[in-house]
Amino acid sequence: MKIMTVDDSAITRKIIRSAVEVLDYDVVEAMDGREALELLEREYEEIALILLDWNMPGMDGMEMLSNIKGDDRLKHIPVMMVTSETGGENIIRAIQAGAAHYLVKPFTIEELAKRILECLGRGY
Amino acid sequence: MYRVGVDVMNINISSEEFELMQRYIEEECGISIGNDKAYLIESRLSGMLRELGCSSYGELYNHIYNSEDKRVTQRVIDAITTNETLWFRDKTPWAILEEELLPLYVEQLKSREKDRIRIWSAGCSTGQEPYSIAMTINSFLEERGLKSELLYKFEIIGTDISPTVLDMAKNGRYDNISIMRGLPVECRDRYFKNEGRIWTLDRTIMDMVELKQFNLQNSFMLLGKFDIIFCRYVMIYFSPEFKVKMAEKLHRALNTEGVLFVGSSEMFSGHRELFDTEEYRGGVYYRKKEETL
Amino acid sequence: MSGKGLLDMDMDRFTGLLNGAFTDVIRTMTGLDAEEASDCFTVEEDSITGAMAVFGSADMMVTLSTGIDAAKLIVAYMTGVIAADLTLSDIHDGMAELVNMFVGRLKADLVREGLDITITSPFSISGNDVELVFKDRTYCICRYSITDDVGVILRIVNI
Repeated sequence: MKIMTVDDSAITRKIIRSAVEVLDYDVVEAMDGREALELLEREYEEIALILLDWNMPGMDGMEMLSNIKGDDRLKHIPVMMVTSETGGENIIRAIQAGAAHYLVKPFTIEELAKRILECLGRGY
Repeated sequence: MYRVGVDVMNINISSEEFELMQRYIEEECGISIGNDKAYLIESRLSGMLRELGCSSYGELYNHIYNSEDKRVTQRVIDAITTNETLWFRDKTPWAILEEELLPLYVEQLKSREKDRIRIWSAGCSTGQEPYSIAMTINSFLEERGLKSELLYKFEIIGTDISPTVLDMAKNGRYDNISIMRGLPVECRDRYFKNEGRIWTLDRTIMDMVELKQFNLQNSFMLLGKFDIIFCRYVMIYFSPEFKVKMAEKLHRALNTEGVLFVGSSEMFSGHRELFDTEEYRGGVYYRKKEETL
Repeated sequence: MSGKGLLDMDMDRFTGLLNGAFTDVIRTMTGLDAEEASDCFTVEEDSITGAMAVFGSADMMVTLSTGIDAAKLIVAYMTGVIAADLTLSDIHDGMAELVNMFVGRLKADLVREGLDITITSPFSISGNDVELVFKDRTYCICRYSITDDVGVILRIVNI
């Protein structure tokens, strides 16, 4: 199975790739919402989790989340927001829109891996 | 653009709600959370917010506060503690272990004054600390031709409250980022096998360590007694009252002459009746004082 | 704009928050310790600056400057990719992401202090002899050493 990272920062995608590969999943990278949706069209059956940035050029993370949760083929895929946007109201908005978890940057690689496992039902 | 049908004003975390949560975490978990960590707590508890179907932090805090389920407390502790770990973190504990303690333990094992040495890494996260201990012991014994005779007499236990990080530790797989943090190249090349960006720890080292889920709130009795306890960067989260309790519990969990390491930048106060402070090459460790009953 | 202005905040309190946010971000993302530098070093040629604008109670530009080699080392620790394998584009992205994380973290602190803050997208600038001139608008400058060879200058400028 694969885990998708959607982030306009190549560095964040590299960090996420490291954590994901240790957990023995393959990685699919997209640099914005539009590219992610195109990839999901082709690969949605293999995607176990989507890690989604909030602030991206073009379609932002919340719009992307809304698209995923509004699509019958995709809505079962857990989504974790990975963002430097803090604030309880943002978290509540994301959770109510269907996000499984909300990880604030900066994070340690161990914490990222732990949250990924939790989203996959392999944690608490 | 996505819009949720909720009045944003009603879902903002209020300071009263945060205080309620702070009080709960301090009373139930012994952990002090400063106001500057509010943003972190909100994010860390987001998974519980979803699972419990809460539409505000007030609702989540009330749920947690009123819950009598021990698992809820445990999950809160797991969520709010930071999994930050390095190989061979701080220089001095490793020099003390190798130059002061291991030579003594080897003598005690050879003369049968001791039949085994037990070491506990409390709050071991993804395993870097107990595996660093195991690598140090393995190298020490191997270089002196004592490995086959004495290795099995060293028992290393790593505990953490989070079963998720323990699973990662048990896999012994690390990425380039983790490997870069504190691990000397010679140690990496000696004890890890590299495939792509993944480094897998040698089975011998993994087999030296027993990993267990454990809540430091509980009694340490069932863990038995130890010759060395590494409890580093764990008590920094604790309330002053819980730190005192921890010092007493750690004292009771040590064998005679047992040694305690705390983090090099940690203040470990109020221990003078329980521990003697020892210094070695600029580093400090604590030796159990004899019971004065 | 509602909320308190940045200038209402005590400067020591503000620099305390800056230091806390910066050391936290560096420690979390690189495993290294950033300490306030005792000397007033400057960043010479071949420098790189990550920058981000902040609006609201205070309109500010936050910049984080260091030498290219120092930035390479920081980004290497962030990503686990050895410095020699990092491209200039990686370094730019890394510095921009670092300033993004720092400002995001600082925003959480400033909002808690009652300030109203909106952040923009980060960007980075590099090159030989690039001089950023802020006239007399500099609000504060902090210098940090991360290792013996790596120094970073954090500057907050009113815009």
